[in-house]
Amino acid sequence: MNIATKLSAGILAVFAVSVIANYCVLLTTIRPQFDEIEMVASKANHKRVVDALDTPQANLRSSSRDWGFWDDNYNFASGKDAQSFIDANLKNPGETFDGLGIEALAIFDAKGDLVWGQTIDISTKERIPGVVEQWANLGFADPYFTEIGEPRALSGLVKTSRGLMLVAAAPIVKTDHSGAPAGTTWMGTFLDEAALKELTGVNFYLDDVPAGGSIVPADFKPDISPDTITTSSLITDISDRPIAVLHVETPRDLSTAGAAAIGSATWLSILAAAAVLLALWFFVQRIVVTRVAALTQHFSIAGESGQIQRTGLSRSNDEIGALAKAFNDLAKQVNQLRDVLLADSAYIGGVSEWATGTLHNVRNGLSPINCAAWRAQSVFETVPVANVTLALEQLADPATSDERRGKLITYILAQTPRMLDCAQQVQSMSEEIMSASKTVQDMASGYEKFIRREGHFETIDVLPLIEGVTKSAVISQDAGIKVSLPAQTVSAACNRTLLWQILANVLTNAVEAMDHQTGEKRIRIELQDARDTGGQLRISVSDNGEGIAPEHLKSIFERGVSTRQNKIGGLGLHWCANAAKELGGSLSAESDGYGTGATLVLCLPSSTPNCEQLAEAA
Amino acid sequence: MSGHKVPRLLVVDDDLGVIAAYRHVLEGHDFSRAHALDELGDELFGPSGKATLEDFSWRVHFADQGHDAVAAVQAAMANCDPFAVVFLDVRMSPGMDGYETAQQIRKIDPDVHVVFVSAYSDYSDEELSDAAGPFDKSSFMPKPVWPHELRATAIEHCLEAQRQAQTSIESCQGD
Repeated sequence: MNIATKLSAGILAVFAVSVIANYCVLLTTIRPQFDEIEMVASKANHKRVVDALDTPQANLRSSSRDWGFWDDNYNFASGKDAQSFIDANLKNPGETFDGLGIEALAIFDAKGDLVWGQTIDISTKERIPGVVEQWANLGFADPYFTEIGEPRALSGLVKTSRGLMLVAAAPIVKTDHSGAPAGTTWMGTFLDEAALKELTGVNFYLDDVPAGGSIVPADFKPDISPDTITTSSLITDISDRPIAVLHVETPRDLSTAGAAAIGSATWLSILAAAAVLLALWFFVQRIVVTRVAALTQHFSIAGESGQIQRTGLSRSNDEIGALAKAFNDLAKQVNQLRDVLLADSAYIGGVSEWATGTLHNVRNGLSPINCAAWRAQSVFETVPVANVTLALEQLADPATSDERRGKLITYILAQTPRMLDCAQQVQSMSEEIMSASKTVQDMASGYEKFIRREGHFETIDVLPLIEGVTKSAVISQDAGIKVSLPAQTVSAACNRTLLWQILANVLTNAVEAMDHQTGEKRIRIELQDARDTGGQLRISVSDNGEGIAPEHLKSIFERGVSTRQNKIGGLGLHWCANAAKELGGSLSAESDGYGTGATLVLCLPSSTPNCEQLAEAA
Repeated sequence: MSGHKVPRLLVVDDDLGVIAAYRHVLEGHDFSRAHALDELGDELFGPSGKATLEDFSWRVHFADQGHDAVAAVQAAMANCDPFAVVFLDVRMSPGMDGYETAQQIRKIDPDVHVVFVSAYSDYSDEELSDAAGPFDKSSFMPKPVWPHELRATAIEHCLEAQRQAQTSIESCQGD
């Protein structure tokens, strides 16, 4: 799992927890507030309906009191002046009912018998029979009124065959409230639920009182559903007995809107989180993951190939840029260290091969010394030194006879040329021994300088050196090779021995590259002065051999890579490249591929303005 | 041809200094005049009993290239005057090295003893045998060349060659 995915997962988790927490907070804090407000509203609605039921009852009570506390009605209920009262007040009941705002009117006498009563449909003005007659069966008896000290009106709901009706009843007394009640005056109007709903703007309905059991207000807890809050209360009739249950429904618009708002807020939060997450993912992908992946790939390539290259990711100033910069610094150190190690390794390899060659040359050089010394000794042994000495002693002795003196003189004279010849031969042998000893000493001295890296820089006339190397490494090996040498010489500042060995190795490689050449074998050596190459002498060795594949143009100089089948006495191109570097120059290869031949180019400083600097550089 | 021919030696080395060393050891001893004087010395002072160079002579041919050596062996075989022993440098430049030269020589002369001479020590018996035939026909002598060892080797193989000379020459003449 990469960093972007991990970071996104973490941020997604944080956002998820945040959204859930926010949702819970909204549910536990905001949503209850909505519920409370709705509960208050539902109570207000319920009261509004109850008030709406009470208002017409108040009007009915007022009208029933006006008629009940009235001398004319008192007389009418008492049976006096009945016709005149009817003529005056009840001849056109519709008008009377309109004036009173009622739909039913009934006057009972003190016995409870109906004196006059009528019900009219206020919209059709038609009489509705049988309604007021039912009021007589409600069982209202005198005691109900007589128990009341001060005449007053009562109101309430009653059931009729046409539905619930709001009614008010007042005792019939004299206008001054005196006298025994002569009866009761009833007024009523049908309960118009639709009008009340329109009036209050509240939806409600009336149910029958449940049969059985006691009804107490505590039984009517609000019924809260997702859509509505239903409040209920008991409605009593005119005698304060339960007659119906009022259910008022208050829609939960507020909480629904609140829930929708909470939902919307939650979804918006989720969308915002997703947008932030997506943006963050792209940002992290671009700023972090891609660059870390590039760094990782760079590190992997370096680890697998061993080629520790600089990375271009260090240009930015952030932490990844700092990491890349640190890697570049490390790569620089490692490469420098590796160069040193490779140079040391090549140098040690060169020391080893040089040591082998030096031992060979020393052994070869000792042969003339041994043999010359042996020859000198052998020659000297042919001279009878002891006899000559004895002859000289006898000649000096006076007792020696003349005859013997003559023979002794003859012997000495005869031995003299021989001794002179012997002395000359010994002298010649000594010179040979001295010369051979100097050769051996030069070999040892050269090797000693090499292992101490005391590169002796000198200005070298390059062409004669090339001619010598060519004669040794090319012409003598294969007379069939056509060698083209440069026409003019140039001077180079370097170590003669190293330059000889580099060129010998390069030329030997060129010869070997043409082993399988069936046609003419050609080697062309060219020299370019510093004036043509921008400061360095350029020695190029071209052959028409097998050539070098483009992918091997650099690797042939790596350690362990050899283009040579026969490694006798060779130091390898790796050593040559490092040696060229020590000389302050370089060795490179050029070729168009297999079958096209190859050119090895050795670049060297052209002169020695400051040999100390060159030696220091080497 | 006579069966008493002076044995022939062939020395092959690309180093002229080494060739000169061979010459010091293997050629150039004229003792005829010395012998006459020694007789007078013996008359005057009595026999000295002094040790002198071995009384053994040979003819030496020198070559500094492998192909020259092969040509010399070829000519020697053609003249029924083969070499008794060849002192052959292993690493020669330019041209053929010692191994290849030995192979060429062995094809021409199956009896000649080949002594590989080298300042290097990285040779193996298998390489020598592969190049110069059986072990009894080849050997190795390290450089630097020690005169007594060189002469002893030369004398040993000359004597061996002389023992086989009669048969070889007869065979050659029969052809």
